[in-house]
Amino acid sequence: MGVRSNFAFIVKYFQLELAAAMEYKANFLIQSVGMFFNDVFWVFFWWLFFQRFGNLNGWGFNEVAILWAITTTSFGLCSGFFNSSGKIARHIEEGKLDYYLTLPKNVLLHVISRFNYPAIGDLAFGICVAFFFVPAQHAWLFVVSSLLGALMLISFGIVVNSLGFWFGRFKEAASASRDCFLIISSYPLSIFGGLTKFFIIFIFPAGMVSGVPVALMRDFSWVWMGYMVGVTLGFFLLAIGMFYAGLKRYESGNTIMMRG
Amino acid sequence: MLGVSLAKPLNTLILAYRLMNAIDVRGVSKDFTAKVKPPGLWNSLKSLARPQYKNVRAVKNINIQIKQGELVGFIGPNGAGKSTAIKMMTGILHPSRGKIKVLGYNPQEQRQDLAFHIGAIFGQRQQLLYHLPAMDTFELFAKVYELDDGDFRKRVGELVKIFKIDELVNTPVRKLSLGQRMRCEFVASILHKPEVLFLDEPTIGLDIIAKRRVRELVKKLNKEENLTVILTSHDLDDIEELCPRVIVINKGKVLYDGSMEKMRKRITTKIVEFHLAEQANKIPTIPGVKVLAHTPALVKLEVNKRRAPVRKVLSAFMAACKVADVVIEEPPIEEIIEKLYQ
Repeated sequence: MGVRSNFAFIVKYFQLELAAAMEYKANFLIQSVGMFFNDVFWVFFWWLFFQRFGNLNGWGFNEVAILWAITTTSFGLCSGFFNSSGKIARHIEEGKLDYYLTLPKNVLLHVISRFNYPAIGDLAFGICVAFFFVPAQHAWLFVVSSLLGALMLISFGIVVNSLGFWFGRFKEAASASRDCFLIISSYPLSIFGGLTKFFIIFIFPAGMVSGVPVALMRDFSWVWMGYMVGVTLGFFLLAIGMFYAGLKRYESGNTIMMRG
Repeated sequence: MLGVSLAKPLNTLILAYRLMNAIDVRGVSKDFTAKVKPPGLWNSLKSLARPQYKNVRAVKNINIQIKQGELVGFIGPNGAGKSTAIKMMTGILHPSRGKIKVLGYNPQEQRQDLAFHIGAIFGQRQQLLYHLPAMDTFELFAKVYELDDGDFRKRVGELVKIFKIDELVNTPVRKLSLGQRMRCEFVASILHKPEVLFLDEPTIGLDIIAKRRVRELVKKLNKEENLTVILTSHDLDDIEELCPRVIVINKGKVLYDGSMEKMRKRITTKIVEFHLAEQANKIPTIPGVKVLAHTPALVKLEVNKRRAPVRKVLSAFMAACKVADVVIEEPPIEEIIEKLYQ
């Protein structure tokens, strides 16, 4: 039941999910490529914006491109490999956790570990943009920020979805909260100020995913690096705590269920 | 630390415990909280402002002890608490009160340890990966249960033969029939040689032939692997054919826990249907026989076996009417439970 056995099992799981995705190759390709170009259009619109207005409270196109590189890489890692972190509320509502609870594996890790191939398009996009826009001396910061960003997105997904244990039907609210979190993380931090900025960095920490890393690339500070690591790990611990506290309230169900 | 190893005596104690009771449920209850809301939009708005809840006790102070190798049937109508009881034994649900031990483990606190020793099949839940062949799920489960590759291959080889699925394991699950899928589900659930197998409605939706096959396999596993089997089913034939011991649950309470034979003796009625070749103008009147339906082609009776032996009823009808076919059935499960309750 150690880390090694959990890792072996998760790797096998991803292999099978990729094999299942390959059963429908056209769908796999269209969705992955589609997500890549969806991101390309967003960044193109930002390029048009900066052509017209020059800068946004000190942020230029370069900063926004790096912001998008980190957001999409983080999202690609989170959604690509731990896609079900955003679907726990649905599992709770439909009583689908039964399956995971009868197997001898860490239930949270097992529930969230789902391979989602369209997100590979986001991951590829993020890495491509980073290659062109992230300065070489900050490559390590890009890697660390993307990993922490992915952990933050996973943790936030678990936190809001775990509320389903208390509220019963919560899948739509959880999904909307996660979308809102992701949207805020894709906007320049410079457009927020005062209490709002504090809120989106420390309380609803979408700003920690990409806004703070871009600020660190502009003006590095170990204190802010510490905040970034601390808030992310804090949210991760909160996510684990909330999931297991909620699991005691799980009520199961009898919905007919197929596994994809 | 003291130069004394506690592992050996501890293992002996666990083994002895298992021999005594594979499953030990004592004073267990399970409460759910349900929102109370009368119908209508106005009541929905009122409920939003001031929600009201009631406590629903799905399982009420049940005590069940099951020995290793026993085959026990849980019966009861929908919502009786059968599945809730099983889900508490597997660690899916937490009991509100009472204690549960399965193979010496506490299912809630030692869920992962226990899961290595038990298997579960929920008829309406599928564990096989839908778009891939069953063999892929078996390989995944080998990782889940941390099976050695050699042991896994050997075990799969044995089970594929027993369950006669050698031509099915490499076909995507979505292309299998329900019966074929259920056989593969069984293999996935017993790959790791569990000591206790929980079967919740395993024959739901299956045709007669597939049902028979599932029953044969359960019997075989119980006999050859000394597997303790806990079975819930709506189908009394499943229980009757497989389980020497039955536990009847209704409204969360255990109404009966004993042999199937003794339970049958407590049931005094049979349903007898005569399909008539010709219309009968007059049918025999026999004390202890109640006419449930009388049409030109059919006479349906409820026979009290103590007052009117079925043999006597058959003779009387055969003599008085031109009978094309006879069907003798047990009364429906709800009626049996009602009688047990009385």
